[in-house]
Amino acid sequence: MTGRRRGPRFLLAIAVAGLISVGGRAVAGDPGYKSSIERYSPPDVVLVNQDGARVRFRSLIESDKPVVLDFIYATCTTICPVLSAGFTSLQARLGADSRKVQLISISIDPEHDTPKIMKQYLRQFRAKPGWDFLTGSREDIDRVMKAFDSYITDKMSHKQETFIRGRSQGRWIRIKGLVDSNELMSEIGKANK
Amino acid sequence: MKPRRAPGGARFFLASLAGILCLATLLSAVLSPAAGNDSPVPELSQEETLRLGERIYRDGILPSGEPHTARVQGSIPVDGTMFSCVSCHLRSGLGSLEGEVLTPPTNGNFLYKPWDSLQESSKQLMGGGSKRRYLHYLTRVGDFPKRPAYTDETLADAIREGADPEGREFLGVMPRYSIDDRDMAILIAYLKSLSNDPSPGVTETTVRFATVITEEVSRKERDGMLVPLARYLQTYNYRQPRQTGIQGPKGRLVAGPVLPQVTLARWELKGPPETWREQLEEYYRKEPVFALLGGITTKEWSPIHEFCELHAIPCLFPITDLPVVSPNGWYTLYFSKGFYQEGEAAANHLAGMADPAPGRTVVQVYPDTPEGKAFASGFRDAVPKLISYG
Repeated sequence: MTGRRRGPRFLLAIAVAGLISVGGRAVAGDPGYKSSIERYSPPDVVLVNQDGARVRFRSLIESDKPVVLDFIYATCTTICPVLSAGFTSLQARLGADSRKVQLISISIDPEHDTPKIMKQYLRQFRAKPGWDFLTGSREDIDRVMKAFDSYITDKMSHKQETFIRGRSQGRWIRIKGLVDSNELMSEIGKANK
Repeated sequence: MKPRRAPGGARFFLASLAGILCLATLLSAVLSPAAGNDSPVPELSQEETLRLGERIYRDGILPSGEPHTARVQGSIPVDGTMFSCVSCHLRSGLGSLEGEVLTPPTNGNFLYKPWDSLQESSKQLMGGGSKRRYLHYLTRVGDFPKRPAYTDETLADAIREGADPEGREFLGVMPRYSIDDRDMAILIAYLKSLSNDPSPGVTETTVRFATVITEEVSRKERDGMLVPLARYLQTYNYRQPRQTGIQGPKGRLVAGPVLPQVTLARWELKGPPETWREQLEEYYRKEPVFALLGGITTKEWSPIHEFCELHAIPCLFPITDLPVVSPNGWYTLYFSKGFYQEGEAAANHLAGMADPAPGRTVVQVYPDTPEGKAFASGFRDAVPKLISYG
């Protein structure tokens, strides 16, 4: 429970870090990103993580930590590496506190992404504890995608989106477009205010 | 263990074939040589320069042996162990479209020429060669701003700073690389050579393919593979000159100048598999092909697989129960892992039904045939992975 008690101060630190680094954005011509507040009801499914362990999805996202979620696949060439590098960067900034933000990457290619492949992927992105990569049956993965209004039939056309769970039940911030680590920190801070 | 013939495979195969025909067209577009090819680094031979450049491009490793470093989305640090040029621009350098991002080609032929999509589109309407067709393909899926040709200097700036010669910034997903002058010269030399040589079997007017059939395959089986394939290519050839772009939405999608005609040779292999390699070399010497399409054997595919790896020949969906199961193979795409996969499936099934009691022994009894061995090794390789599932 120590983690929980230290939570607010920790979140404040994230928010402050976000504010301080606003000036860091360099890409003038970038369209940037859009964020919206949504309500989602994630399904009660059991998925499999990078260690091959079965994980109840709801218990993972209903933890008392900030939760950041994205949909990726290990063989993706363009967007996912950037999303994942964003997670790497976030964890690097959290330093020893990496466990205090739960990062979840959900595979949209469960036929290919086995625990072994997911573990290798996380290693490639130097993931620290607190970042889980989940796969599962095609049916369960589809249910999760649908619950986040992110269902696609073709993995190649997947979207550049990140989801941050807010403090109240079922409330999520949906970020459309790619964000840099300052922006991600700032959005996590806002979601958990 | 009855041999499978990939149910529904034919349709999948033909869909993929459409893809490779498109690829052949792209490759035929890069026939002209790029400017300047002498090694830019005095102490390195041209060959060594290209080898080092390829390592930067494909593996993200600099000549020093360290991964390159870069930033994406303004502030996110990445390095060559996470991804490299090849991740988006692909091995060919011809670019890609994925996750709403259109990645332009990065080979010298594209970079060292001015880009003006409007002008290219108007050339399209008047017809033209395959190169214009290629550019047309790009404008269909998206567009890049008009820009002058790159020079070595502006290209280095683009790779480092993320802007074209006109100063327009790239998307944030394009990494801004920290690469010193010497390594940059090596990388640029590689880009100039990339997809620069004419692909064997491709000319302005023809793309040659072959299909491999081994002699023991029954008449019925070979016809089952060959007839739809030959008919598809025939239809493809027949349709080309009629594409005017005014025959409805589908017609517009494939509209453009006349494409090369395609031909399909039959390479029949006789005798034991050890002798196939030599026969394949002989066929290839006489008539180089761009790719192998389909193909069928009741024996192992490995001699054909290895031939394709050596000569860098794509081989699309051969019908075989004994494919090469390897993470390193690049050129052959299989429908499935064949009997090996059946072994994996059996292991999966077993893991699902039995109590995961530790210390239990599984005894495999299998025939001493290539099929039996493939099945057994698929089973054997899958079991340890399943145990780790807990």
